[in-house]
Amino acid sequence: MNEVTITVNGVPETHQVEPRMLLVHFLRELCGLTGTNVGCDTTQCGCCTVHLDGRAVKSCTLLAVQADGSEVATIEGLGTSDRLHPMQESFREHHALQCGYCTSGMVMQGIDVVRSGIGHDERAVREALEGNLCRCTGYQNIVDAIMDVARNAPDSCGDGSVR
Amino acid sequence: MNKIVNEMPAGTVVTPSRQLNHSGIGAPVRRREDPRLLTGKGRFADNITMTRQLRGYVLRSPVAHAKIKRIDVSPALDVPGLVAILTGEDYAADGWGDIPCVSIPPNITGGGYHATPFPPLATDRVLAVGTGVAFIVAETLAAAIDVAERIEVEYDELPVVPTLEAALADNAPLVWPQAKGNRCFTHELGDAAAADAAFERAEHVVRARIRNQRVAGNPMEPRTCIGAWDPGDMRWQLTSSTANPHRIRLILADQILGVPAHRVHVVAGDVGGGFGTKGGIYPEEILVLWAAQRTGRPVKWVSDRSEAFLSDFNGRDQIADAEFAFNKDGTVLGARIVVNHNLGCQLGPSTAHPPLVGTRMLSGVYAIPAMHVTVNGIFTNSRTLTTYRGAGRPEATLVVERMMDLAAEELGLAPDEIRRRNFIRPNQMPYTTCIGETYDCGEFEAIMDEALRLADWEDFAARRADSEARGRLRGRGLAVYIEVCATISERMEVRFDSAGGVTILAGTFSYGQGHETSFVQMAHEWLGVPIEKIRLLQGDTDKIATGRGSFGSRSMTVGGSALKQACESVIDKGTRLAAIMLEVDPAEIVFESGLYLWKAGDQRSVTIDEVAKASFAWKGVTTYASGALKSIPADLWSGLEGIGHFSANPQNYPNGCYIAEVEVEPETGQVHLVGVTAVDDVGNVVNPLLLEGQIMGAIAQAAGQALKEKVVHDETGQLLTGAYTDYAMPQAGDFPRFKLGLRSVPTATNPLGVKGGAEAGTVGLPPAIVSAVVDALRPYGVRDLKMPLTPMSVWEAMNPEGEEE
Repeated sequence: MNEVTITVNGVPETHQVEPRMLLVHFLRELCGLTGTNVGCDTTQCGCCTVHLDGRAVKSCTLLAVQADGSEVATIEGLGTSDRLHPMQESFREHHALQCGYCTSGMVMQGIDVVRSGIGHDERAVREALEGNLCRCTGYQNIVDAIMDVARNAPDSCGDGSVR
Repeated sequence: MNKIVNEMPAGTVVTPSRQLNHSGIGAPVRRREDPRLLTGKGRFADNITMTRQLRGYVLRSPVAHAKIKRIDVSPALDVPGLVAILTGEDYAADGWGDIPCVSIPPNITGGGYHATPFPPLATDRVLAVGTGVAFIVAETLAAAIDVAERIEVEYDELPVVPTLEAALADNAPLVWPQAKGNRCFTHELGDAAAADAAFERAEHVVRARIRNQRVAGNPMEPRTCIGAWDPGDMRWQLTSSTANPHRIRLILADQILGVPAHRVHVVAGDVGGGFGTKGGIYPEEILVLWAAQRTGRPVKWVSDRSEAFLSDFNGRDQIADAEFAFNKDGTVLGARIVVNHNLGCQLGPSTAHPPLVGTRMLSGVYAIPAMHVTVNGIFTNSRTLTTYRGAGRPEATLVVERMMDLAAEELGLAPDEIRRRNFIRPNQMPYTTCIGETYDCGEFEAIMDEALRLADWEDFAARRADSEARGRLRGRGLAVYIEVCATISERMEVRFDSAGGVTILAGTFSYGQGHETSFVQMAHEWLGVPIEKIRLLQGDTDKIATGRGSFGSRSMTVGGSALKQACESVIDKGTRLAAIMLEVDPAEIVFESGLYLWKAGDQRSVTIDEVAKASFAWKGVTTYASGALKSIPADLWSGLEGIGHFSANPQNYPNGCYIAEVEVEPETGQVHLVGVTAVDDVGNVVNPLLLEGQIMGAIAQAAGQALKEKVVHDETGQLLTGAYTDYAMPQAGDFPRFKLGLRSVPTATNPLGVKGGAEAGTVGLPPAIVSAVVDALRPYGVRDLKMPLTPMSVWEAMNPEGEEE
């Protein structure tokens, strides 16, 4: 067992973990943050996308011990039901989610796309979602939601520190 | 009786608007479920951890067909954290039942069918890779996996029938020895003699074998379930990612356990997609309950994606051998079709649904005077078949529409022209096809013309020239589909609470469709209660008396119609109480926008909110004019509520036209989908935003099947597509912007005038894409192509063996 401290949504979380524990399981099981979902086991689906030190990463592809000392932002660190983050609000406005399972990862990836400055180019946005699968929406509304934020509220995605 | 009317003129062409002017029926209301799902507060099954919960793990067969000679658990017994290793023999000894098949109707022709035992763990024989042979229960998942790795299972391998082609071959090995030719059932439709006579008269006959490949449903949330046992009340509780909790309770109580249904409590919270895959009961949902009772602790099982590929039931997988007879002018005279559908190794609850329902639709939108259809259900050593979005209708539509295009090509007609010559006309409605389906309405030529216009069909040559200038081939294809939607009965309940809140208790079950919004919009419109005060409750069998769930594009039709009746019942009851409160004759009260109004009199009124609160009054109500305290009749004095029922008999027939345009890279065979146009007739629209979402999602799944997806087994029955590394899922970059239109012909078969809208794309688009790629490859002499149209398969069609330089 190793002691790991990760600052999650601004709160330091210190836990004893097995070396094989993935970051996503650290978040879900030890921090109780179940908004980050697991959709595959080969790093293809992106349901588990979170921000690690301001960049989107797949939390199923990192060990918790690798994230020791890092800052992690999850979907729970964005807005609340009555005060959504602009990216969350845009997803709602554009009907960019149906079952909601891929949504946390899509929102976190969408913020990263806007932050990286390619959110105005539809082709680039679509390519940037290569690692995020959605089975429900056909993607068009997700693309529109992200491009809307890039157009109207790019600062909300800032430099990735989205709290 | 208060009648609720909602109509849109027939034939109105609508491009869905997102402007929100009201919150009732027809408005693009933003979803009520979104804030929860957008903030990571979804109630997915794996988000629940029960006190003292154990983890379950299924040890699965690595071979496709074998006798189990020996299971030796002794090497695993000292693994720390092990609680129990359970086998199929233990299951049988405890007297629990098998998974039933409930999708074969009693009137099947051909002398019944071959039933298959389907216990959740195999006892003597494994029939497909991934068959469960032991259920391990341990303190942690890691411990359970460690145990599984130490259990020794000895298999005596048997000949394998991995695919439909292998199962149909002469002298194929048998999956079930009693099922000769691997045939589970044979069902016939139509008139063989009449069809034969049509072929004798024919001037031209088109023949083709149409292959519809096996696909995996792939809802993004892998299947998950938690079983718990309450030894005090002797009840089982299943928390599951199922798409149909009431159906599971029914199967568990009636078939598996043989107990009153009130001893089984099934709960489903948020469910991350289903598409048919999660609609039946699965072995693991039974195993967690059984293991929970045996261990006395809750047991959770969570599939990972690789396990989902092994254990989820699959969709499609059909070979149709079709012959269509024509006159030289392109008039269709008759059709003979033999369908072989791969059922997999064992019959699950819905296995026979796709072949039996799909073949009903093989006449498509055409007036075909004579047909004969034979459908065979075939066993193979592959995972059980189930419904997958469209469930048989996509298969049927691919056959009819490809045959029309092949005929057009051979007869020198344009694809739209051959269809014009054969459409069932609006003045022929209602029209009964020669295989027995009665379409009530539909304007097929008009909807095709609207799609041709929206797709800019006429200016294709310029776009093709542009593609060619960039070194790419370009093709276009169209398909006109009809499907059958909404089935069996539904029950909806509406309850006011003491503070004027409204709860809809839904027998339907939404797992992404947005019912917390669409049904709430309906209740808002009908009851005049603000949308914020209405809540939809679903998915808990202890709270909702009964229900059928959501599948087959049924919910707006049957759920909506039942909800309308429930609201009317509430309004009628409220009228009686309002009459007491207003001191007027109930017959003179009119209900409008949430107000009971004495319209014929002095306009005195009371709101439904006040009436509802009065129905909970502790001491009776004070009246309008005299102010006297009056007691309330008993049936109105314990809350205001109503129940509605509806059954879809007849069903409804959404239809439409899909047009695809593709570019093909000649060097690589890579297909780029550059245009998708859809014009659908789904009747009246409840929420255009949600409808559009359904149509776009179905388009993506259709394109996935046409271009990328396929479940592949090798000759030993091993699954080669066991992860997203090998099974190609549609991605954002695969798609152009979709052009969508609606052209409504409301149906009179339900009080809302709605038709199903959730599966249209999966039904209509695949043949359009295939035809578009064939059109692009015309210079290469390509006549037909088999899905999925991967770069490899397209390149091979362009470069047949022996013709390479």
